[in-house]
Amino acid sequence: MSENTVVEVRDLVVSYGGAKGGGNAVDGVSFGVDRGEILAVVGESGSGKSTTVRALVGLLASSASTSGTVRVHGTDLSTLSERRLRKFIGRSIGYVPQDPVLSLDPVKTVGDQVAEVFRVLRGHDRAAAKAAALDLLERVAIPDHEKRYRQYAHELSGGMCQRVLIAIALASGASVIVADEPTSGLDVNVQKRVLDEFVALARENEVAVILVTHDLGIAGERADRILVMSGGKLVEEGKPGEVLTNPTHSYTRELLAAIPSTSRTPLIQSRLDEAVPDQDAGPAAAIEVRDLRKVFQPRSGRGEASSELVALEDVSFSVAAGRTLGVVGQSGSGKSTLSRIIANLEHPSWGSVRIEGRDVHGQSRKEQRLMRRQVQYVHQNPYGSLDPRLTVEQIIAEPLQAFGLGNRSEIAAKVAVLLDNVALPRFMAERKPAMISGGQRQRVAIARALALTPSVLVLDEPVSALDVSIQDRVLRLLVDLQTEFGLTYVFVSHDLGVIRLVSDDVLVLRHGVVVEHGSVSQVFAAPEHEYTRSLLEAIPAITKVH
Amino acid sequence: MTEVLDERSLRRSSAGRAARGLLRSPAVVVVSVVILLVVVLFAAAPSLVTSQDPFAPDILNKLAPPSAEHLFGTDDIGRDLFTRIVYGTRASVLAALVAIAIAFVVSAVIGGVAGFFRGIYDSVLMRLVDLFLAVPDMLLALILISALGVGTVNVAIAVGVSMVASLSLVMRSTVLRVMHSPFVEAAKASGVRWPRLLVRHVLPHAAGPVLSLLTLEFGIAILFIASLSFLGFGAPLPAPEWGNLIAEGRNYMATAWWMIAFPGIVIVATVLSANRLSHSFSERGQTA
Repeated sequence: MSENTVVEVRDLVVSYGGAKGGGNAVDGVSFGVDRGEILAVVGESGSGKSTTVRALVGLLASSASTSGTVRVHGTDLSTLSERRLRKFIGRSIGYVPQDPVLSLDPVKTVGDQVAEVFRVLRGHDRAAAKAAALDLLERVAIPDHEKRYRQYAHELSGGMCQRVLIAIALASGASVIVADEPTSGLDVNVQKRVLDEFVALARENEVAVILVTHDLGIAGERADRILVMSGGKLVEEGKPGEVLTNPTHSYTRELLAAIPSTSRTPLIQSRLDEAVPDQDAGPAAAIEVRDLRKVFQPRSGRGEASSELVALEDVSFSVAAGRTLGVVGQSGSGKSTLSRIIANLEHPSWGSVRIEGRDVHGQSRKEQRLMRRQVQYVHQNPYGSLDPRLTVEQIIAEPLQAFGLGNRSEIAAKVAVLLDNVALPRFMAERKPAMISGGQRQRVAIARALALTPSVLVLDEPVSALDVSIQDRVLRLLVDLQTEFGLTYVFVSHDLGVIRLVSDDVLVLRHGVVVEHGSVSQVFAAPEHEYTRSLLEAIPAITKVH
Repeated sequence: MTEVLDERSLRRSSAGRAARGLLRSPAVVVVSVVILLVVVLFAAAPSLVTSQDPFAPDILNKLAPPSAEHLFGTDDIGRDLFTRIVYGTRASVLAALVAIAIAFVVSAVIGGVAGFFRGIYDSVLMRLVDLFLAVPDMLLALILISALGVGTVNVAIAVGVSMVASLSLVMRSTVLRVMHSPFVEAAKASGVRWPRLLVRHVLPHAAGPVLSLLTLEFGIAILFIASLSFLGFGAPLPAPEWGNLIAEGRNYMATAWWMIAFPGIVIVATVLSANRLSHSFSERGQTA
């Protein structure tokens, strides 16, 4: 190993639960990181990328057993006692965790948390630690850092919290920082900014970074070297230019092909080619939204004048039958509220939603319930939207039973057909949600939504909890189902790349206001609003691979 | 300086960790289960455990200290204390079970209705619960007993009712949490009507946390009932109950320590075991 190597991993094997036949979570991984190098570890969930870096910082679950050597600055970690190990790692490796808001202490000010590192690990006294912490907060680009120093985690946005965590990692003076999906919970815009600043700061201080991410785009734009992991093994290693343009392993190629980058052909290309949609002569509007407004009244404790929170402001649009409207915006833009109002999970404060000419909210309860047969909703999170106690069959059968559509055997037959529709094998019917993967769960949720043969499907971030390759398969499924059943989609996503693949039209929301609305080709080719442009820039650009 | 502080806090936390680890160790849970099983055995078949008569006096052997013949010693008229504790178990445990059954059913209805239907039901029921919470449990139980009269069953009812208010709050918040989960919303969006929603999705998910709480409440009920029985509101003497055994022993505290020590130890062991078991239930619930 060379003088410059700060971390060296040799034949690392990590397995869980002893001699279980499930194979190793990490299977013989070797790599090294040089001083000041930015190394990206890429892979899908279950590829072992997180386990690998958690082994570096000693954060593996107690049920994990490891073999192989990890050397940090030439010291073999396995030779240290547990107490010395913790101290050694604390001083030599910084760690930026995945969830910024949960990872900060809620009862200490963020400034104190940074200063604490200076006091404990570097022996600064109170005043010196505070000064150093303030300086560091300024360097991680926290605006108004003197005020922020005295604030608590819940008073800061997710991006701010992540900056604080980066500051904590830097404060230790470690020469390596391990960042595990540091920005996956943040909006695209914020994500890009935080990462750029982080990498710049690391380069400036000659700190090596091990960046774990599922996003090849993020890795490609920032790393000096990329490791691609799959099934616990290292399948590819190289400079971003090589890996992204000339991948040698089939898995890397698959990953690249599945990314919803701007260079890909939309999945609905054939429909787009067919005819230029003419607003007047086109098919009848399936959804008509007029002057929609939603105001939340936050409860205020001490009789203060409660400030209203406007989630949606005069939103109007219509969607033609059989087409897809993509709704984009950052978190807090009101896109989820809009989708929930269309699906009648929430009531608007003002305005109306008409589906096939009928007002969704202005009817009797009984009629509203009947309307559910026309409009169905798919949740963002397939891990929460399926009752864990029921089997897949019971879940899909539920809407059929609720509306009394058939007897026991008829319903069973319909469930089988629905499983076929979403390309799930029929034997899955017996399984419970915990026994199937995320992608399969989302298929079950889609099958449940289709059970009532609705004409409109409202999809709230249907693929954002899924890995790219699975995301791609679910998107294809949705497009196929749309053509087969003539469905109208309202497709909500924060990811313009995904929207572009499946939508005819795009609606861009910002702070509850529609800033742009037009066909996909218009909006992507010539965005009118500055906000749309910034969203477009944030899509990781990946050169076309072939 | 920081080094010293570091070391000290490390030691303190490791001692704390050792204590917590001991409590969490499977051995402690096993011991708890064994203790509770023994208590159940006492209650179910006292004659299997001891061959002596809980009421037969033996004046010659009065206030005898613990020995091979009288494991826990004898009382002021020479009755075997161990036998009396064993026979007293049934009344005490049954009363506790009746109390938590009452508390569970009533609070499930109150908390369930409030959490599921919200709105006016929620407001009215929760204000009522607040009213009950404002009265100390013991006072409330005493008021109820003075209305119902003394006796084991009445003590059980009084204790059960006085536990309703706080259990209702837990029940309500559990139901509320389940109501907010996406799968309940998904079921609503599928057009599922409320009775089915309640029975199929909400109640099964609310049951888990409430069951682990009930184990804890069992311990509290034992303690509560023993207190009331100590004060003389339970079964009239000479019928043995854990609480009134201690009350009897109080008069001989200076000369016959065993008369109050052994019933006390039995109560403490039972309550702690229930407590430990409840915690291990809820820990398992969190990891599952």
